[in-house]
Amino acid sequence: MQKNKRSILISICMLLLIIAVAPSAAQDEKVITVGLGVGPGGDEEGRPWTGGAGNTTHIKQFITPTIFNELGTEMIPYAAESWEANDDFTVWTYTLRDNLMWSDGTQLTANDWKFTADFVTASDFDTDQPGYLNQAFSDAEGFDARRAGDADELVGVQVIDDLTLEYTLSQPNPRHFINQFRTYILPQHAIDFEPSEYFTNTWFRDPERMVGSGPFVVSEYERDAFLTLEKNPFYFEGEPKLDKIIIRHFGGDISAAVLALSAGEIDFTYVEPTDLEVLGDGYEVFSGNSTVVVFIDINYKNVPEFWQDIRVRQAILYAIDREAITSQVLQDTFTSIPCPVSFSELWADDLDWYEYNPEKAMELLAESGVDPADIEMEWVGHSGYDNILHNSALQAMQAYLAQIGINNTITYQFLDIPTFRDTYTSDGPWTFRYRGLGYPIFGGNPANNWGSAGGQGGDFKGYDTQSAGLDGAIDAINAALTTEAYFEAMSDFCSLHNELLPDLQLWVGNRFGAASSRLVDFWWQPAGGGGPYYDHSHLWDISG
Amino acid sequence: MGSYILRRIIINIPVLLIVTILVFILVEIAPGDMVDFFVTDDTLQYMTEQDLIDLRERLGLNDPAPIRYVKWMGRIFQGDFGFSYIQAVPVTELLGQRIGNSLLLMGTGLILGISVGIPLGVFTALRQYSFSDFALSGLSFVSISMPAFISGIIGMYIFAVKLNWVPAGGMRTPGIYTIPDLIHHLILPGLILASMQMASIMRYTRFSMLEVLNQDYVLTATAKGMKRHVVINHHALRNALLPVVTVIGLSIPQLIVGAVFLETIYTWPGMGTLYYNAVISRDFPIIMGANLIIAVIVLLANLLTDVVYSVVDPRIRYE
Repeated sequence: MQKNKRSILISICMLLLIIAVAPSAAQDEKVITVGLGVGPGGDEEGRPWTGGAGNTTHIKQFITPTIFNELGTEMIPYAAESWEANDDFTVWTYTLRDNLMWSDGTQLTANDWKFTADFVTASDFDTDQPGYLNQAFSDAEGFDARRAGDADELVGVQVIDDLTLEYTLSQPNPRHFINQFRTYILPQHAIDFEPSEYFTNTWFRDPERMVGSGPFVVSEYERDAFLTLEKNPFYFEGEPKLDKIIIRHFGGDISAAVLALSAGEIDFTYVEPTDLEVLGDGYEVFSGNSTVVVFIDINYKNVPEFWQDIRVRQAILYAIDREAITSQVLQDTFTSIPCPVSFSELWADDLDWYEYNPEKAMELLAESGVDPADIEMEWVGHSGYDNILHNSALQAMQAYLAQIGINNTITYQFLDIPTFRDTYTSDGPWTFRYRGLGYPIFGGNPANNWGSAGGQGGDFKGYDTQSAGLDGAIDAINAALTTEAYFEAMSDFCSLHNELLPDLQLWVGNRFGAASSRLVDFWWQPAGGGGPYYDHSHLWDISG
Repeated sequence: MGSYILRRIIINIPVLLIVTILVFILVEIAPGDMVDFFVTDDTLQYMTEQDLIDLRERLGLNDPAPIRYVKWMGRIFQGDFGFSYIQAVPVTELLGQRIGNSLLLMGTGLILGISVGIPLGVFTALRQYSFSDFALSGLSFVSISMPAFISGIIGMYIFAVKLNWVPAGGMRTPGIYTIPDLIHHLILPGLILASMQMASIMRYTRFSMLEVLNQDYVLTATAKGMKRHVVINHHALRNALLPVVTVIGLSIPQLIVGAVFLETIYTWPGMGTLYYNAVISRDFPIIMGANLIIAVIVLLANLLTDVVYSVVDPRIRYE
């Protein structure tokens, strides 16, 4: 027994010794550790032109996009310093900055941009997300031939000089520059593999081969653990203040990232609204419009005929106190919206907010000849909203509707993405769904969900968007020749949607990030889908 | 014994085959597929119908299900587990990296669980109805009842966040590849996993010891004047361990499940998180490969249990 006690004591001492002497990182460098891959759209393994390209915030640290989509209504010149179009918007000329450098000291030129265009449009370019290359290049002349393997280059993209690139479009596009906000230029002199090897190649994670143009470059990588970036002395905006950024992988687990932030092991992560209370004080909280509008989607093919009557849909909105739900249940982390356009500067003054009025709801139902008891709503959410806030909001809505006699069942199914998509097909039996849709001011196409030409628009849900005028409103948006006209057309679309209520817009969410107090000049923006956006990471610093 | 082991291995081959077929069927009948995971509302507007067709072609999803299964099996026999659809890395490379990490975590939990659980079981059996017996039994009930993800989060909150004694997840400090650092990260998840094992092993050992201690041969040994520790260790414990060995063997699958939750909470890059993410994204090669590996581990664990059983009980001989 004495021997056992001694053994136990020795084991405990060794354990404490290990805890005490466990090594820490070198203290003489300015290093921060962040969880940039956490949150909606985050992809810790993301690379340019693949699945994580548009949605992950770390790619732009080592490869610069040509243009940034700032939150709201701005496009920020980045690698591309300026752009202009001819009179009919069929030729666009982009001018690069003259001080862009790759991390090996080579200048970034228009030839790299041309190389990128030809490389990613090759017929055998291996990517899991062709949508990004389509967005950047599909309206250039010769795109189809190039993608079919019938052309040796993308003829619609040509180099004028070292700093000037010209796009010749197959159709006029007054806002072609918008399509460039996820164009990541690749280094012609350093890419040492074929387009067919793009997806499986380790180039982007190999410090010996990878050359970047962002404020940082890859210095170390361990799969599923971390990605270390060190400063790029050739960055065009100046050498970064930080020596290293360690992007720690959390597998998308927000809870693990929040706990790591609480423990002081990381300096920043995306957080859910419910995490803010847990964190308490001592953190800088960033927040902003996520542009993800949450609404009740209706499948007119499968719901009773009376849902075609707008008074029924209006009654539903009047019956729900959205202000109370957003302020008390959703704790002001969401804001009521009158239409799918979530930017208040585009809301007309005469929009109908369908403010809580259960008596009016009952009146409207009576006028339409519909007995509330006959209205059955079975709606489903999905795993993107499986948190206590949305749960509570759904229950609150259920209670409000029950107050005016509407039977509704909320089946809160935690459907994963493939199941959700497979369930909610054009021919599926679904009737209602509680869902969100990211609709940033640029980069989004309302036709996708509200027009007959979109994948989940009119034909999908059996709503006659053509006759209702929604198609026309969306066409006006896409045909607008100036930014002012574009915003005006969006405002008109918002007003029309508000009037027609093809679906029931509820609220738009804010998204939050929390940074430790030791970070200085840190900046984060919850852009729709995660970015990319301009975050001036070369200025990030730490105190002390 | 050798022929017995060989026979068991041969018998397990059709079992593995059935496991792969069942898993394949489950993946097939699950709604949606890989392409649905790739396509988001954001990118949908820029993708054409041909793009979706090409994606399915690229992933081999256009082949009929039986053809895809046969192709997969054919590659398996050549040692080729395919490529991850999401991570673009050979599945063997991913599994190889992760399985070591998982075995480290699971092994730590199992070894600690056995080495502490058995002595505690003996301790409480010898002090039946004492305060320490009640206290340890009560703690074991709590430990058994508490799901792994709850104890994992509580443990992280207390020891990592509040006390700062151990790291809040991860397997190592970035850039540091030392054993002490690895152990530092392993302590908490290993102990949490071990606590579940400890509790159940302790309970079974206690129960088994109490039964054995009341046997006639134990009473005879005591009456003969043998020293107490000789009676307990040489006569009672050896017999009491027989059912405990079975329990330990059967707990291997439970250990794997527990490891899945803890790996997620502690961002431990093991098989659990790999498998979970693969299921969410319908990453077929990883799902099939990981399932195959897990099935092999479980079957080997059962075989090992039987072998250890025969070592512990000389009366048992396999032919």
